[in-house]
Amino acid sequence: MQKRNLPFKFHLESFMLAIYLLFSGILLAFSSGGFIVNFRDIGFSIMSGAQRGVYSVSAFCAGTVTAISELSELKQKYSDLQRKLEDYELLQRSNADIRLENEHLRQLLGFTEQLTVKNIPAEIIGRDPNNLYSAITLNRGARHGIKKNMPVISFQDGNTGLVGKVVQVGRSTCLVMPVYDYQCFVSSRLETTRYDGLINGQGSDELPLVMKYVKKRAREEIKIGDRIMTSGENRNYPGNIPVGLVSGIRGLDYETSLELDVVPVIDFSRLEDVFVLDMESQSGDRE
Amino acid sequence: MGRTIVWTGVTALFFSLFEAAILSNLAFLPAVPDLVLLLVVYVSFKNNSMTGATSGFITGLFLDFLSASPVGLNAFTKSLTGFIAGKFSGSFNLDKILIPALMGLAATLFKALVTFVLSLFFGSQILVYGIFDATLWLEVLVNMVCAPMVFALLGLFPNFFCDNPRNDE
Repeated sequence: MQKRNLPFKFHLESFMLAIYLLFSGILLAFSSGGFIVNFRDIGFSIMSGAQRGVYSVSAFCAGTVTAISELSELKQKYSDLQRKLEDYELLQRSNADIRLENEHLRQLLGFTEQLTVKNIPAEIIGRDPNNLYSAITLNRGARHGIKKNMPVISFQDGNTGLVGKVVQVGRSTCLVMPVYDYQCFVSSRLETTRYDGLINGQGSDELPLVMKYVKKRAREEIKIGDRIMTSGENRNYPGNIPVGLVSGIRGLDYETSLELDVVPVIDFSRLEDVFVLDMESQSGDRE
Repeated sequence: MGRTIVWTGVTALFFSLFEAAILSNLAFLPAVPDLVLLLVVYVSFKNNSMTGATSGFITGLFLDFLSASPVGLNAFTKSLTGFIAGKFSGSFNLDKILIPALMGLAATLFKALVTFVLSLFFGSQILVYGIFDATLWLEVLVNMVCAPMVFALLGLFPNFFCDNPRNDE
């Protein structure tokens, strides 16, 4: 039987590439739109479960390494103390550590008691592997009552500050978009002068946030160091949560509004514990 | 091919979790290296376009689920990167430092280019690298530094990442 000559040459690898690209494109289209099957939720639940496992293992390894180093340090101290007969020194040091830890925990406890909204404490277990995106992974998920769009705040050095909002929920983890993300917008207000605007991140925790659409007539009243709070509009975020401090004022003659540089009140490089706020519980209580 | 893809998938899973849970938390790193991209480039170069595109697609999906980026973005960029890298398979000898570093450089720039093109089709949901942004060049730098190490590490296991390990020797 004579082999039929096709008018084109069939390349399996090119065909497969086209299939992969098509499938990726469809996924992209669905993830930016609203498809009934959320591939992201399913995948995130699976992957974040594994991420939680890796975090636990790494935390265990880090704890073990720290414990070993601490053990050798303690041995050294013990021999020194035995020689010098100064046992109290070690005791005092341990007491100081416990006191510090106790103080920190008391602060956190006091903070959660101050909050009128139901809150879920969470710990940061990972950050976005993609340099262009800045999501933070927390160790609490749907199982703990976390839902999409819940605001996240933190307590640092005696100050409360806005961290961001939940954008993705897995079974036991969730993904938070921090305020410094490109895609994060927070309606805010200057605490003293009450002028409002929209805060947007610049994609990095090292760059200041930008507050846009502030009325130009506010220029004379705004000062460097003024505090900016959430306005609570649209109920995306609770009102009066500190976001940052004004660090720069910009406005050109031909523009109708000012732009303010804002330094976040939260230092994201040393952020460990956060609180996810359940705004629905508050509205439910009011009803 | 099946065995290579399975091992690439397992390694990519480990690399992506390592990036998300550990490397992204290291404050002294200027940018998170894209180890999965380097893995895809290595596997594609050692095999062919078919293996490259398939492994790129699978490994990209892993990253998509861990990142805030739209699902499919990494799958798309890595499938295409794997396919192109596979086309260069056997074209030149892989030395220890220079060629892997150059491949890391080229792959990162190619990723930035594809991301930009995709952003034209899918809009602002896809963030792009700015040509003058430090993020792009820091990522290029860390990928160039990491590429020789990743290639050397993967080279220790030719049976896992090459369809024909004897040809590799």
